[in-house]
Order: sequence, then C-alpha cells, then structure tokens
Amino acid sequence: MKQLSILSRASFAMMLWFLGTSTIHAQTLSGNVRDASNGEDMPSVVMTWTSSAGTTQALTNAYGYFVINLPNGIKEGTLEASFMGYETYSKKLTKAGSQRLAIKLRESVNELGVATVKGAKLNENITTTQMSVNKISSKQIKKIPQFLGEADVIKSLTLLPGVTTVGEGASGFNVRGGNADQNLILLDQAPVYNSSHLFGFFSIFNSDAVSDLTLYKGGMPSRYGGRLSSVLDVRQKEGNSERFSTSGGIGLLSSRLMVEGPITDNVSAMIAGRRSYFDLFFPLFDVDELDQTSLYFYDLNAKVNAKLGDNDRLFASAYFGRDNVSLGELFAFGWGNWTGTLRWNHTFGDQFFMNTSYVYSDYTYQLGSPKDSSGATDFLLESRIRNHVNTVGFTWFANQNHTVEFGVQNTFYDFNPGQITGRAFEKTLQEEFADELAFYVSDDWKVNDRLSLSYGLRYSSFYNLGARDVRLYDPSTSIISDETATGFESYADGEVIRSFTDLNGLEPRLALNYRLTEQSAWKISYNRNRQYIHLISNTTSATPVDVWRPAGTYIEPATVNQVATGWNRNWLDGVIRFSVEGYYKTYENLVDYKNGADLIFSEYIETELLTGEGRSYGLEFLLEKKVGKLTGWAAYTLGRSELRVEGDHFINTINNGDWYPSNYDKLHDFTLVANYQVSRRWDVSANFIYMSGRAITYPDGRGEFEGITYPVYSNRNGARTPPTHRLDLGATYQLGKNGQAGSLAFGGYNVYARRNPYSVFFQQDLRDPTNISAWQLSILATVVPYLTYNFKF
Amino acid sequence: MKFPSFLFGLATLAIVTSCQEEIDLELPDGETRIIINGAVSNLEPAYAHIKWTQPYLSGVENQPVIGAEAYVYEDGVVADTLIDMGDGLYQGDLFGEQGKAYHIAVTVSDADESHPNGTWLSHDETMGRCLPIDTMYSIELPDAPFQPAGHYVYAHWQEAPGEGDVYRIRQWYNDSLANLPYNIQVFDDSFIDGIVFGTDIQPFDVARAQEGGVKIEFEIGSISTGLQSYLELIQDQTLRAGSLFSPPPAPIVGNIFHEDDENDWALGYFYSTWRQRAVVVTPQ
Repeated sequence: MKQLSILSRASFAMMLWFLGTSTIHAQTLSGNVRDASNGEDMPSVVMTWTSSAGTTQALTNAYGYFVINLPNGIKEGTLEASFMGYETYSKKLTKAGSQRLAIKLRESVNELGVATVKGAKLNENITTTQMSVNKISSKQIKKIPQFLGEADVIKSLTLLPGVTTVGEGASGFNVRGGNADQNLILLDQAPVYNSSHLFGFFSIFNSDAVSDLTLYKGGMPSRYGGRLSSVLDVRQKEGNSERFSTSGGIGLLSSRLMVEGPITDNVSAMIAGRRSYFDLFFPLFDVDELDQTSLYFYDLNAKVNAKLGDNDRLFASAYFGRDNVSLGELFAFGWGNWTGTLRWNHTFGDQFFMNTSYVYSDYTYQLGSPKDSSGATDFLLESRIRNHVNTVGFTWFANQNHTVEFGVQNTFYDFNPGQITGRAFEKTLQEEFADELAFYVSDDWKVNDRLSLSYGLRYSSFYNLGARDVRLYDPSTSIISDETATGFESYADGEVIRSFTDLNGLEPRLALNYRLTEQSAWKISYNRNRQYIHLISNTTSATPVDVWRPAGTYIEPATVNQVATGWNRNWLDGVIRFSVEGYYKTYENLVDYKNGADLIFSEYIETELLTGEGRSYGLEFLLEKKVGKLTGWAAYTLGRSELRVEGDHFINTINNGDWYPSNYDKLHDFTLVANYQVSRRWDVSANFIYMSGRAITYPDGRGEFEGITYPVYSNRNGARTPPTHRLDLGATYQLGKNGQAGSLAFGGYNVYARRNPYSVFFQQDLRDPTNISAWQLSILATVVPYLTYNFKF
Repeated sequence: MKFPSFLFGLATLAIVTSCQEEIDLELPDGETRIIINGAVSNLEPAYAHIKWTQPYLSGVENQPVIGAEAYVYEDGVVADTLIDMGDGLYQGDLFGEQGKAYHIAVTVSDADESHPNGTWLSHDETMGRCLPIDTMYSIELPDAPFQPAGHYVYAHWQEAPGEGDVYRIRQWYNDSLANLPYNIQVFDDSFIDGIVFGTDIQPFDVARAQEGGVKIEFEIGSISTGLQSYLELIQDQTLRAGSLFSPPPAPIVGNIFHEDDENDWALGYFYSTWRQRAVVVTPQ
C-alpha cells in the first residue's frame, strides 16, 4: 500500500503542475462527429479551429467526441472536420460562448466511386504523438483478397509491418517478436481469449459487424494494459441510426448477414450472423466416416446504442461464437467465446468525458465422446476462463495544450482449467481465482507548435485468490516436480495466496513527437507492460485446448520494456505516407516449457514450466497510399526474436542456456497490398508476401529404444525452413446500377500454387528404422479460388 | 493427458489442401552419445543394449559398444553382471522382484578416443505390481462406420486397487512385436483406480486382425512414471512432428547420466517391470 500512496501523490502532483501552467478557458467547442451514411461515431477526425489568434487542432476520441478550448475573447473563426475519404466539413462560427456541435461527415467519392480528398490536410499521423499504431477499416479489409474470400481481420493484420504468423493456417498473430498470447484482443472492450475459428483458418470477427480496428504495437496509451506485445482494439458497428440497411455475403463455404437500423429516434441496433458449411459437402466424397463428421463454426454479433439526451449514451453489445467438430460417436469437440459489454458515456460540462463499462467474457472448450453407443467410455473434458471487467475512465480536455486521461480498471478472473465427467470417472482440476486492479493517468501535452508529448503511468496489481490447495516443493532444490513435492497448503475462499503489489507494477508510458516540417515528424516512445496471465501452450501454433493460467505461487508475471523511434513523412497532404520505425524490446519472466512437457489436464502445471527471458528488435518500413484509384501499402520488417532459458540444471535449461530464435522469428517480412478501381463496376486487388523461413529444429543424431528409432535434438530452433512467398489476386464486379444488386467478389489465394513450407519433419521406414526421409509440410499447397456474392440494401 | 492430435489432423485435412513432399536435406553431425536400453523383469533375465549414436540420416545402424562393463544393482547392491553377447547386447541372469529397486552401471574405457568414456548410472527403478489378465478372446465383427470388418480381440483385467500404478501395453502379431511409435501404449490409474476392464467399463480393445489364424499375444506390465514420461516423449517427438500443433523438438532424456556430470545424459532407459501376458489365435 505504501507504493500506492507514492503513486497517488505523484499523480496528484503532476495534475497540480499542469493545472498551474494552464490558462482558464471560458469557451469551448465540443461535440460528436459521425458518419452521415450510418450515424457511426468517427474516431481520429482532425478538428481544426482557425481564428485571428491562430490555428488549433484536436482529434476526436475513440467515441467520436472532441473538445477545442478557445482563448477568451475569440468570437469568430472557422471549424473544419477532416477525415481521409470524406468531404471536409467547414463552418464559420460567429457566436461567442461555448458550443456543442453534432457534425456529420459525408464520404467523398468521384464518378468512379473512388474516395478522394478535397482541400483537407490530413496529417494527423504527423501531429499525434502516437506511434507504432495501425488502423484498418472494415472497408479496407474487404478489398483485400483472402483465403476463400472471407474478409478476415486477423489475416489482414499480418500484412502490416511488425505483424507475422508462425505459418499459414496458424491461429493468432505475433507482434514485434512477441508470442500470440501477448496480444490483448478487445471486442468492444471485452477481452477475447481465442480469436480463431477452425484452428486458425478464419478469425472470429465478422467483417460486416466490425466498424474499425486499431492495433497498438508499442507506445500503448496507459489506459491499456495486461499484455506485453500489442493491443488490438476492435469495435463493432453501433447500428445505423439514419436508415435500415442489410448487408451480407454468400460464399462457397460460408455466408453472413447483417441487419442494422434505427429503432426509435434515439436508439439504433445492429445484429449480424455468420455460419460455415464445409460439412454439408462431406457426403459428396462418399466416405462413410465423413457422413458422420461435422465441422462448422458460427457467430452472432449484436449491439444496441441509445442516446439519452445531449450528455449520455448507452451501449450494449454482445458476441457469441462457436466451433463444432465431431466424428460420429467417437469424438465431439467444441469451443467458443461469448462476450458482453455495457457501456455508458457521459459528458460533464464540455471538458469532461466519462467512459464507464462492465464487460463479461467467457471462453470454453469441450472435448469428449458423449454419444458412445455403449456409454461405458463416455467422457467430457471441459475447460473455461471467465472475466468480469469494470472500468471507469475519464478524459479531461483541460485546455488547448493538455488532454488528461485517468481511470481505474478491475478485472476478476475465474480459471477453470479442466473438468472430466463420465460414467466411469470424474475429476476436476482446482479452479483458480485472481483479481487485477489497475490505475492509470496520462497527459497529452502540446508543448509548442513543434513538440508534443504524451506521458503517463499505469499501476497494476494482481492477487491470486483462494479457495485452493497449493502444492509445496522441497525448497532446497530448484527442480519443481512430482518427485520434489512435499505437501500442501490450503487457502480459504477469497484468501490471498500471493499478491503482486510492489513497484514492479509501475508501467510508465512515454511518447514524444517533434514536428520537423509540416509534413514530417520524428517520434520516440517507451513503454513498460506487465502481463499476469499466460496461455499454457507448448505447440508451434496455439490450439483451442490451450488453457490460460494466472501468476501465482510458482508463475511470475512477465514484463516487457520497449523503446521505439521513428520518422514519418507525408506527401500530398497525407495521401501518401511513409514511416520507418526501429524498436528494441526486452522481456522478463517469459513462460517456457520443460522438454516433453505434458500440459493438458495437468493438475500441477508448475512442474512443467520454465522461466526465461527474451529480446526482440527490428526495423519497420511502411509506404501507403490512402485514397485515389490506386490504394494500398508496401511494408517491410527486418526483425529478430530470441529467447533464453538458463537454469542451474539441464532440466531447467534449453540449448545450454544460450539465446535461441523463437518459433516466430522472421528476419525478413515483406508485404505488398494494392487495390485499383478500374471503373465504377470493376476493381481489382492483389497481395504479395515474402517472409523468411521460420526457425526449426533439426536432429543431429539417432537414438533408439526397443526397436524404435528417434531423433536426437540438441539445438532448439537452430535451422530454418525455406522462405514463404505467395500472391493472391481478386476482383470485384458491381451488379446493377451503382452496385444496387450487390457485387461479385472472386479471385484466387496463392495463385502460383507455391508450396510454402510450414515445417520439415522426418519419417522412418517401419521395416528398416535406419531408412529415414525428410519431408516438407505445406498447409495450402495449391491455388484456392473463391467466389462470393455480396449484397447491401 | 495427451493431446488428441488425430482430431486436428482430420480437421485440418478436411479444410485445406495440405501437401507433404519428400525433400533432400543435409543435417549437421552432432556429438556421439552412448545409448543404454535395458530392463529387469519377472519374465526375462536382465539385459541391456549398449550402442553409439550415428548421424540421423546416415542410414547406418547405431554401432555396438564393445567391451563395456555392465552391472545391475538390486536395492543398491550388485546383483548381476551383464555379459557382452555381441551386437551391443549385454545379457545377465537376474529376474526381478516386486518392491525392489534396480539400476545399471555401465563403464566404457578411455581406450577409444573417438567415443566418450567413463561410467553411466541409471536412477533406481522400483518394480511395481500388475494383476494377472483374467481372460482374452476374439469376436468377429462386420463392417460399420469407424469399424472395419475383422476379428476383434478383447481382454478382461483388473487394475490393482490403490492409486499410483502405471502400465505399459505391448502386442505381438504372429510373434512380431508391434511397439513402434504408433503402438506405444502407456497409462496410469488416476482415472481408473481399481476398475475392472470388461465389467466396470469396456474390456481392453487389444487388437484387430483382418484374417483368422493370427496369433495375438498381449502383455501388460507395470512401469514407473519416469518410463511413462519417456515413452510419451518418444511418441511426441516421432509422431507429433511437423504439424501446426506439434510440440517443439526436445531431447529425449531417459534416466541414465554420467557419473561425473549429471547434466551429461545418455540416451535410452533402464527400467524394471512386472509383466503379465495372454495369447489368443483368431478363429479361421
């Protein structure tokens, strides 16, 4: 508690300091900016106030809200709202005093239906301190040719610099050399614990229901925490408040539908659904086993948005998704997320904006043979993680130079790592409970016309709670195993088993922007993040049966320190943008696994774990064109990601304690994404990717046991697979006048049928164990065509 | 509990057009290690196979260690001297007893500088218990989904009451051992303590023979948790390799270490086991 006291005093002092430096403003311009076509809030809109006293700029926040503080005595001026691809809103204001505005922006398209920019200077990437951030809209994602034509949020992210995957078909993504469990994935503020359908071939995000997404790879604002490597903030559409509309798509293997519209003058809603139907085609293969096999996913998204006067808005949103796989009476397997968010936005006067929310998140999987004909070997294995997250956050638009954010967030975790039920046996692993409490404060400070600064502090604490029996081990040895167990210690319901409340919970954040010219800026950032929960996964790619476990008696929280610096340069007022960023990250207390760790349904998971450190570093280049007939980007990342596990015994050591490449270490990663509007009816698009091969372990000897030949490994990840490259092509044809009859999207994934190596493995001749051959596995080894009919009414 | 890898394999195959192709590969030659595999049991005299490793893709069989000294200890006392029978086989005459602990000591002289030398010791393995097989029989079943037609052999057996037992199963088809990685079967009694297979739950599904007249021999034997982990690791590292959901490659370390350096491990495993066997011939 002493540390908390120091923290509060420091925060208070900081607030007093900038209050003292601020001037009192009697007038403000505030309001919301929304899309005229559907009423959606528009974040990151550049608001510019020009008067005889000069020019002041601000950006709308994540909820489309803005405040511009005006010096006393200013009566006249012009307010502009600018956003890429939208007509600039401009209004001359002559009335003195504070004003609340409701601004609607209209898309700006030319005769080809191409987004254009008219007169606006869209240099928000130059003026903001935020770096290492990528934003993609649902519209952009839909223009990218993808596997089976399914517009995929996660796959689109991997086309950005600094974002990779282990390989084709792998679930999750890796950001700047971090593991997939180091990404905080938020869907309307709700944490999502598995972002994949069908083992990673699709993401859980229905592109029709998604409004936009933001990926923070570094320099995270202090309101975010809990993961080391990135924050992916995905927002669902709020429901068209202007008119009813329906959109969807019918594909070869899945279809989707979204309906949105106003319920009353002040209430709008959205509901969307999606389902795959691979399994409907199984009978065509005329294989008995396939007749009884099901393999599908579905998901539902819903959101309601209510305006309660000028100062209040309520939102309720939910997601439910599920994957199901079953093999007749042999096996049934299912997993899925469900999340719910209640959010209340309130403005106190003009300068205080409050966002308060309650979030529930639930991830479960079941695995078993529930329909075994005899019933004798029925069993069902279930695992679950649940969250309750309460957040109260404030934004204080203190004056034209300072915007302050502060708040508190509490997350309660309920981990149910496993329960087996069946006629013959039942067993339940102990539940684990934990509570994470975090406070944050930050200030965006415009020091002068050239220099701006964003500094903040997050303090997180974590409590591993009972009831639980904790196994104890012989303290005289560093080896934690069944053999060194000495007994148990019991903790009562709610009793603190272990708390993490020291100064290591301090997570400073700093970002600095020095504007070199009107079109270029140099930036630098530092962030420290802490992660208290870990995905226990010892496979190359995460699986649905991996479980999350909290820091506790034997698992330490992991931390990362990241420094990044970069240069941004715009041309044509932000239509063409270039950035280069370098980063260096060091990790502590990363979880790794003993050789041959057995993780599923493990009562004492600590006996399988090791603790290590990591480092990653790299350079990212991004050149993008935002609007016009030709849009897209080229990205290149040069990066390294390495781990080290060094113990006092070989059981606790990997690769003799030397640094070794992580599974997702990719030295080169190049992507090219392009879309060209040929005519009002036609547009074509292409992706090309090239990636270094991933790290892989080759055997350097041959062992044997009773006729079984096996490889001897002594150098983990000491070799590389060949590089990966692929070209995807797509086209969209608008049907009817102005596409009113929908559109046809078609194309091919991996058009030159590259057999990209996922891994290299070895097979032995069962009759002659010395005869061993090397094999390469390619996940998508041929062209995968797609055809989807999309519609919108 | 092990990962249901076949499930993911099927799902993956159903979704995508994956491809496996043979490639040419040159691998580095690692250091030569000693391999010591042996056992003490109630059915055969103590033995050990002692060899040197070869490069993985060399195509050459692992070479026998010639002239090593090998002793088997029972409860810490030398109980048997294993004689070099040639081709790496060292044979003794000791039969094990339940409840007693066994380990091996193998000494290789420093006469050959191309190989490591010294003494390797295995950890003690206490011989467990295993109740006899009650009955074993075959039934002919017709073709059905997930059930090809053939002779199905089942066994009834009771797991000894009291937790902490671990077992390994082996089968022979016409006297040919089927214990390649695909057939390694080990389990513990954490979910089936005292259960009677064939009464409380289904009998052991021992084997399937497409034709009649096949001699099927079934063995169940007690093993240690250490050997259970070792065999599961062999399975992981040989069968679950190269796929999306494979564990990382790892050294397969048994229970044998150099006397002077516990971090210097030998390949292989020396274990004790109490075995029970039964035989059935499928009807013509």
